[in-house]
Amino acid sequence: MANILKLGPGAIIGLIVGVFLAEWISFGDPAYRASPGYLAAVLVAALLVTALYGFVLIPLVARLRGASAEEGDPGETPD
Amino acid sequence: MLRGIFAAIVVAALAGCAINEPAPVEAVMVEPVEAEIIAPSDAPTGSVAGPDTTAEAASAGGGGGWGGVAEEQDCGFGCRVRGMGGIFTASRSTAEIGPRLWASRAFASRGTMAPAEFGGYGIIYFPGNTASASEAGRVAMFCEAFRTLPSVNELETPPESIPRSQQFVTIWPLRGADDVLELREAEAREREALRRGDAAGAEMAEDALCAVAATGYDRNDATRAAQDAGPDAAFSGRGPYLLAWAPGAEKGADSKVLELDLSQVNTSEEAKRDLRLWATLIEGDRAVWGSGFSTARLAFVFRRWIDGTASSVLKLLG
Repeated sequence: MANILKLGPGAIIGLIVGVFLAEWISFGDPAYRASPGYLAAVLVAALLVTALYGFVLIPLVARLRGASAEEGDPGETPD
Repeated sequence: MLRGIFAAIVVAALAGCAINEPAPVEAVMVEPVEAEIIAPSDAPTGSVAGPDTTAEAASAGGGGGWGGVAEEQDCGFGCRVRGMGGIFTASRSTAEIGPRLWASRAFASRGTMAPAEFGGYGIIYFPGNTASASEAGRVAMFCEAFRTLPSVNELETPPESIPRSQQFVTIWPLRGADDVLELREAEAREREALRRGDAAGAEMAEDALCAVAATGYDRNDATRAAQDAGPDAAFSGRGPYLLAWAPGAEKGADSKVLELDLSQVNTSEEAKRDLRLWATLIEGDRAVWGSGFSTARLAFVFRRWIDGTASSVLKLLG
């Protein structure tokens, strides 16, 4: 559950990116908003961004934090 | 890290805008006459839309009326956009056409709708025999979708009152005046049925109308128009193809042509969706008309792809 909740920000960013993408491909046609293509564009973009966030960004940040914590280990510092 | 990703996106977007080069179009729009004088082979490299254009123009030494080369660009997923590579044609057309065009349609026999009257001129081209039993259903489907575009008369009459010079018409060519007459009668019957609230009657009238449109389809006229799209035009799919020239007066291989292949369309919904896309391409961002890279073209290619796969994607996602 906690892991799913971690994806929240990624999902929100994904939805925003998805809506922007769908608006871009609609060429200003309001009727297109009701089409399956619009919904599919939003969902595909949201999924991709969430996946990138969850599987790339979060592990990368965790690894970078781990590395910086090791660097800041008090046992390694000189007297 | 997030900052880095956003920076990369911004850099990519700026790079896309730089390739798109919208500024020269506006610059030439101000002085269309000057643009007309210069042939692409004499043009300074910096004012040409894309890097490949210069090479093509130079190798051909100025081919058509504009002294340039008709080129074809495959934008994928059944879309081909053809037109002149030089920036001059694009800007000249834009200057002549005016700021806004409205998509319209007409069933017309040869000679009744002169391309020169319209801001833009298009045609629906069926490479196969529209009168054959195997194609009847498909032709009727496209006829119904075609009729979702507003007719020339509808736009000309109040309250719209849009002159033909501001319309981008798409023609369904018919062989003779008899076919047009028969079609008008069916249209009148449909209107009458709708006034009475007789949905079945209206549907029958529309079926009759589309039957006339299929049997009366002028394949010779459409084939000639397809040949106007250029000598290297290839229509290998089952079609139909939507072909367009702008401005209408310049209909021919050297004028800018927008081409939409509807061979992959199989359902009535898809046909209506693609005709709506056609209208959007006509009325929307003109960057998609030209050749070379543009963000609008990218959006168009992505939309064609997502529209084609939307049902499977949504099914997959439940």
